[in-house]
Amino acid sequence: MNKSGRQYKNKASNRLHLPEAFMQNRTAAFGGILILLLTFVAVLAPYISLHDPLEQNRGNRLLSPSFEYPFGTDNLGRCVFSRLVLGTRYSLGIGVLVVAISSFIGTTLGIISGYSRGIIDETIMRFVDIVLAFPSIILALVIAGALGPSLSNVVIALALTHWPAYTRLVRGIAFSLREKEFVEAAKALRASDIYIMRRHIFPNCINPIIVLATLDIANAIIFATALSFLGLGIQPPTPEWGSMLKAGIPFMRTSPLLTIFPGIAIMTIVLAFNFLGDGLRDMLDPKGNELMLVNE
Amino acid sequence: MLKYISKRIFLVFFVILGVTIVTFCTMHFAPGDPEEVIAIARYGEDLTQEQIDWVKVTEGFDAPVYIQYMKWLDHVLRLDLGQSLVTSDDVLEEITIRFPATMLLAFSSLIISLTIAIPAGIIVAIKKNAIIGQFFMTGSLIGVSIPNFWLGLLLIWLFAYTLHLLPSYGYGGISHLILPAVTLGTSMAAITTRLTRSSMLDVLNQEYIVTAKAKGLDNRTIILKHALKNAMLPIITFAGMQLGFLLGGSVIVETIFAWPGIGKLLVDSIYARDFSMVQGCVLIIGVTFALTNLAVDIAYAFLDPRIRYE
Repeated sequence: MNKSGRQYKNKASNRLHLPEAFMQNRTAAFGGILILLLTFVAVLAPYISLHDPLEQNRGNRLLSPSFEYPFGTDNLGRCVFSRLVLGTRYSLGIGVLVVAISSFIGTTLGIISGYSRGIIDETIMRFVDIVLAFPSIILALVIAGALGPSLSNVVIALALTHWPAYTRLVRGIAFSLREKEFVEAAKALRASDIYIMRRHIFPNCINPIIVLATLDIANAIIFATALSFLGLGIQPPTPEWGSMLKAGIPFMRTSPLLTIFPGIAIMTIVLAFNFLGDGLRDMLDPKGNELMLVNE
Repeated sequence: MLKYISKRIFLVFFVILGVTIVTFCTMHFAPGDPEEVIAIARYGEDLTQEQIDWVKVTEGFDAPVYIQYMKWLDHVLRLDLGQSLVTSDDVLEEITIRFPATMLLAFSSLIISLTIAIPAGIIVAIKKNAIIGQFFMTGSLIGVSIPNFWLGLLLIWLFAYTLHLLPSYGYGGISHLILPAVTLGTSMAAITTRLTRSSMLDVLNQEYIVTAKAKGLDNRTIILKHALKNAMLPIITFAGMQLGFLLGGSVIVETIFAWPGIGKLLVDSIYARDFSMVQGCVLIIGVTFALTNLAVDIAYAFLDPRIRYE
């Protein structure tokens, strides 16, 4: 039993060659570096920002970019640059948190579903069908709208709508692995079901999950900013990029930069995860589905 | 094939049942009791306990949840979606009024998307390694990463505010349609291009393409006649899925451009906490989505001989 366990562990450790693969795949490397940089910005936000992102200064309203205010100021005289820097925390944090929660729930249910089949499988998959019966933004919108606008409700709404993708993906893999010889062998050695799921099925699902999760972070970030943009997510004065974009709309004719900068920020972070995810798919899961990349 | 189709229809029945359950639950997602939510919508924030109790009894909230659901389902099956909590308009009627606008936007943006994506996808697939192929692939990845609410704002800024060519919002002539349709269409084109490419590449690796080459057919005939026909299947499926998604109202784009479709109705109702209207929209969107997917599955069966002759 130990032997087969180790064997598949070794297979999973193919990922150790990643650094070389990264060097060859320039877009993935670019995405990875960008993500590192943005993480850096998010962690060190208070040291990078030039002004207090919440401090209003009526005398400095709607200023153009200058040395003191690199991206100008908004309608309340707040430094746009400092607000964007702090906003990195929200987008990055929400994206990672949503994907952590939904991939954990989705993967667990997927492995159980594919491995056990029968009535449990049917039940879980019917739940998946129900969630997928709606365009996911609609469901997230309604849940966030009903719960009321707040950061935690955005995370709840997105996590509730994002897990089925993982369940579907993992279930398919688990379903086909169940018949493989190494699972049969483990069973013959009286390994418990939980042991088999954890040590034999799960390691074989990791690569596609990593690819999906990376692309899904991009997706979750777009959704979260969209909810805030619609006023159903994080509320002002919190410098979240989506709500900054919304706040800039009334001033679009005179100060278009107020809507341009937050948009560039959102695009950059989403692009970084899409680049990385797309590159990871080429490396880890070449037969992976193009449709993992979904907009809106 | 009949077996395949009947199985699909059977599944859709379950999905729609699920849709009704989720729709019914939306009322209960909100914090506080549903009778309180309705009472606030009717009488404002200053409520007496009698008013809440009155709503509870008249709306049947004192019954167990499953009885409430059955009653609600009974109304829905008789096409009675209730009245708006805010305006007292008939929910189904309001949705029917909004539907044509959503349909117009959905079909226009789908056409824009496919006109861009299919040629682009084919070019990328053929010139896999050439600069132009790389250029399109990176371009499509950037396209997927642009949030469409931002794209919409940029287009408004450029075409409405700076160049004064098109109206920035509203509903009416073709000039109102252009910006929202282009916003949605180009967003979708990015992902459809990638799908067309991978689907083309799959087909181009098949043996019958090698045979066609060996026969001495020219590239043009091979690509347009032999490869494209088979590569179209996944593209059609995906286009159908997108249509189902769009018919549910593209909430964000409709909101930005004040396009009076179902998506905007849903968002406005959420703002107003008009839960019966929200329920109506969610139900119709879910059912439309499910039925479009069913139509796609059936169309697929007709198009793909491997399923047709099963």
